[in-house]
Amino acid sequence: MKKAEIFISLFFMNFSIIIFKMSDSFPSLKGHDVGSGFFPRMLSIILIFLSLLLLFGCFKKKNSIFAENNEKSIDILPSIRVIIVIILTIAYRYLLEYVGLLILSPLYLIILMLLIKVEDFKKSVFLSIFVTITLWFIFCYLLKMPLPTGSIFQ
Amino acid sequence: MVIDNLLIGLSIILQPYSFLMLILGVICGIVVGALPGLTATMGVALLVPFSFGMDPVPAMMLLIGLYVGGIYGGSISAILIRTPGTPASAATLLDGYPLFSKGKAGLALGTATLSSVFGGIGSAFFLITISPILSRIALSFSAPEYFMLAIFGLTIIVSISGKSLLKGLISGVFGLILSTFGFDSINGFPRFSFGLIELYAGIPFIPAMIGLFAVSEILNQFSKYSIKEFNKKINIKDLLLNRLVILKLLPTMLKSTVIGTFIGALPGAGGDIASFVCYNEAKRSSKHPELFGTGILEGVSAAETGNNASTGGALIPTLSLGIPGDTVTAVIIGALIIHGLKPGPLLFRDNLEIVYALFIGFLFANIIMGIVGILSMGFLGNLISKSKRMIIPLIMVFAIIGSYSIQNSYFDINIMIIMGIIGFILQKYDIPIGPIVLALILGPMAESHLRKALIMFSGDYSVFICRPISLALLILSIISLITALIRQVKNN
Repeated sequence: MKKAEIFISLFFMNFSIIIFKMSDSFPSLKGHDVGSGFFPRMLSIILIFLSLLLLFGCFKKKNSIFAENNEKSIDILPSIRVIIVIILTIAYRYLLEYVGLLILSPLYLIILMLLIKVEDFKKSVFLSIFVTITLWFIFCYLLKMPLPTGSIFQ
Repeated sequence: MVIDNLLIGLSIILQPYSFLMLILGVICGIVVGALPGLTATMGVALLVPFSFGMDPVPAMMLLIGLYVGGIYGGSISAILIRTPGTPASAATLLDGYPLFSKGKAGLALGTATLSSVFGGIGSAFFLITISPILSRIALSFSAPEYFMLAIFGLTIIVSISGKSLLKGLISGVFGLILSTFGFDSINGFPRFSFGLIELYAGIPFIPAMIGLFAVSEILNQFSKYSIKEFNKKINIKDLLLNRLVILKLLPTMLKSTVIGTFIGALPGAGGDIASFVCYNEAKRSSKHPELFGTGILEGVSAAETGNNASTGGALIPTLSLGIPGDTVTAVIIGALIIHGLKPGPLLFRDNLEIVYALFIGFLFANIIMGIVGILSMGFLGNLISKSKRMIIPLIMVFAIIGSYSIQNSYFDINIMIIMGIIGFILQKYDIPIGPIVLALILGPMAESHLRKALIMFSGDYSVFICRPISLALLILSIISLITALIRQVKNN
């Protein structure tokens, strides 16, 4: 638990420092306007302060307002399935431009349903194809909103 | 005189074609609102061309029906799949989804439906009776008042921080920093664009919201060893709340109707702000504030009453002054002009019968919304509860298509994925994501109005205390903050 708290505080501190440094190059005070950099700088200072409090709170006693109430441990690494889903989703997003929604979506859906252990394979295939076609119909024909068709078909 | 006008309006609405368009608009609105990525604004904008060939009254019935249905429809996906269908339903999921997770989908959906109808009808009452007065108050809001309203809204972060106030604040400030990405609204300087043209407009809000809520939850479900599916069937009886429950929710609904209508009447402040403010007020005044966020009916009721009440509120400045109350009414003003009706005082002078037809149409839209909601929610709720394993991958595809379809942009899908991963990781470390969404909504409003106020009043900070409405909002913010802090200390 302490490791997780330290990791979060360090992440947000680093994020705030980057934001603060980048805000330095923004146009500053002109007339009565506080400038483009005022809010990001102020917020990044507040976030650094809060992150330090969180770091400090790791070592404080239990009943502090800033200390966690529960003592459960948290897995720092997500499960393998989650990583696979993320990789698949990123691949789906990039392949959409080339292959298009109609072909890619049923495949993507079937793989996700297998990962989530849907027992009836035939039903998952049918549903994947049916939902893809229905969504295509709703968006492209009813709402006239174009969906990715795939550049290899153009 | 008012009664005569209302009866004339009623006779116009009850013509078969106009009434049919009203029903069609509500049904389309509920579907649009329930689909993540499609908003009521988008739905109304898409239907405007379809209404070109119609007479003004049926055309406006179609659009108003869609507006009302769209705001309500967002609660369906918020409760069932943890994805607000519209930004106005972001507060609904705070208690709506936990209720669904406990197997109380029927109760959650029934509460959302009743509260939406109550809020809508209540705001119709204000629309009909005190439009001119509310419009005058709304018009007295300037940059200092809007800044204070945003600050008041941001104090809600304390309420939705959950167990750890510090982590909630970190989440909120992180969200506020993200809201500064993109063109500076005052001098147009591109901030944190990292060389990407797509980031000049800032982080797109709806894909970010879909990512934070829906995608993070999908990833969370994939990270579990087993997925709970509910065998309890939802009947229409489950959706019709019993008398005791309704009586218990009545004070919340009454208060949220007033607050929601007022916030809706403020130009630029819509259902999203109204729902969070009402949620916060319900929590602040509750005998059991610690239960909010765990699945409590008052939480769902406050948010849904507030966001639907804001629809009537938004129509107040729209019709009486020609100033849009929110983005949807901005599109509706365009539609009114296309149909030869100029919103504002002249509309009341030259087309009074149409104005009252719009009032009655709005009232009926809320009633129809309730009936359609009750009839269809059982089916939807059962479908999603029992087929959760199959639904989860489908939601991911809906989320991707929804994010893409807003601007036909692959970049929006990238944002959705990134925010989904961020949301998943943050939740694993018990950092609430509600404050991030609230900050994304209110951050730009707070910054731009602070800077406008300082420019308008020559850098004089006392303007925030000297103007009465601004001072009142500041005091409310302080009270809201102190009571929430005291509550947190007591809980710890």
